[in-house]
Amino acid sequence: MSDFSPFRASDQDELASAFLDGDVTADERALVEADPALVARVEQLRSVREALGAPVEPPPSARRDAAISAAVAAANVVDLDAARRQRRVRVASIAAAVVLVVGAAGFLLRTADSNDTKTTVAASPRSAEDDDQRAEETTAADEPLTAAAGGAYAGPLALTQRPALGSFTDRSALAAATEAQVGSFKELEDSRRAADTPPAPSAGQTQGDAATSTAPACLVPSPADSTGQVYAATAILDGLAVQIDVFALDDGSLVLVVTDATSCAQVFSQPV
Amino acid sequence: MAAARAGDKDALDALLRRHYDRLFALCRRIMGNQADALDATQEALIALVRGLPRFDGRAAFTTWSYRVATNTCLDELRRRRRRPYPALTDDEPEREAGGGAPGVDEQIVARLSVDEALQHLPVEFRAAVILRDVCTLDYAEIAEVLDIPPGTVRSRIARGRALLADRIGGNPAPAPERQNPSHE
Repeated sequence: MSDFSPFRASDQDELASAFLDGDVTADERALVEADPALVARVEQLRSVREALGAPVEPPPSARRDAAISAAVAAANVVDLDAARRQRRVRVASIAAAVVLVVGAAGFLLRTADSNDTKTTVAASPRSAEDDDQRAEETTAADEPLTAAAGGAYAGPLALTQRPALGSFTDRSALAAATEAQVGSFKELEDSRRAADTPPAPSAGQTQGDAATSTAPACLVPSPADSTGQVYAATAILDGLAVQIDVFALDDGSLVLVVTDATSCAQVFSQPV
Repeated sequence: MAAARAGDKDALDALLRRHYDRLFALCRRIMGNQADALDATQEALIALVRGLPRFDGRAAFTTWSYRVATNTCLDELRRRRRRPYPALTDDEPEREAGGGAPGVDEQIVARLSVDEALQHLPVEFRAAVILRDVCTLDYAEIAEVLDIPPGTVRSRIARGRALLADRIGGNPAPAPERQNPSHE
């Protein structure tokens, strides 16, 4: 043990310390016990351990009680930093969810639009001129058309794109006016083109402000047996701004769905 | 414990009273004086109470509470290290005599109490030695408290004890590599 270089000393100290704690192998134990210098070092470290383990001066009981009371009281105190962290996590979660939902909705709408275009082309061939016009309108409106089939959720035609039917005092008058308009359209495309030329008032219809609004249209779920939406418009029904959606069913009939344009609650629906 | 976690104030009070003394002893040795130890213990108790809902019971409560208290004390020591160094007072030993030249400084250090000698230890060594020799935790428990491997625990305890032995025994200028925890 006369060769006490710093590195060796460190190793020897570790061995002596481990010996003191009983954390040595049999070989290490024998090594220590055979080396008087190591045994002496163990005794030095033992003195340190005993000195450290001596009891400390006890705290004043008043401070002890105060500390415990303060800690118990802290159980009721909101940790502002923790609360802020939790709030940030909540906001981030909600934002992520919104992004996901919007992304998924956009994807579904694009998919529905694509299906609609294919279905329309197959069922009702058009001239190249019509197709060009249709493409221009679609691009200009930047709004997916929604002759979604098979009960899919129909994307709404914006209120500004819908023809205004006028004001009505009762449902039957509104239904009759709608029926009269629907007869002239085979597809939603046609009804949108008619938005620029509002129809003349009919029986039961009063002149008034059209329900055209800059607000986006409500999402109206198409009936389960719907083959597509054939008409969309706006109107005033007994002072209430409503949006009108007409769907074709697979049995060839049509169903009118009238929705409160403000709350998006369904007002009524009926065959037309 | 379950009642305390559920918000029973009496149970919480009893739990804290049961563990106060040993946590105070830990803080007293780490912080080096009574006043700082009292403050640190109070901080540790508050941290315990706030952390109690997250205590999953995988470790013993005693081990977990040592971990919370040790971290509280070490955080406080680190905060102080960043502050401007205070002027020495009569009851405070001169710290880290510059240059390590033998003479009066060594004679003073040789008379240091255990507490005073502890203040010369790097905090990493100090915590390991105190958890072993004051709190009597085994190496595995200390590894859990300090979140370091057991081999590192063994090394830190050995080096810390050796430094203390040298300080208390009148050999206050240990080899430099013994003072550097990065050499583990």
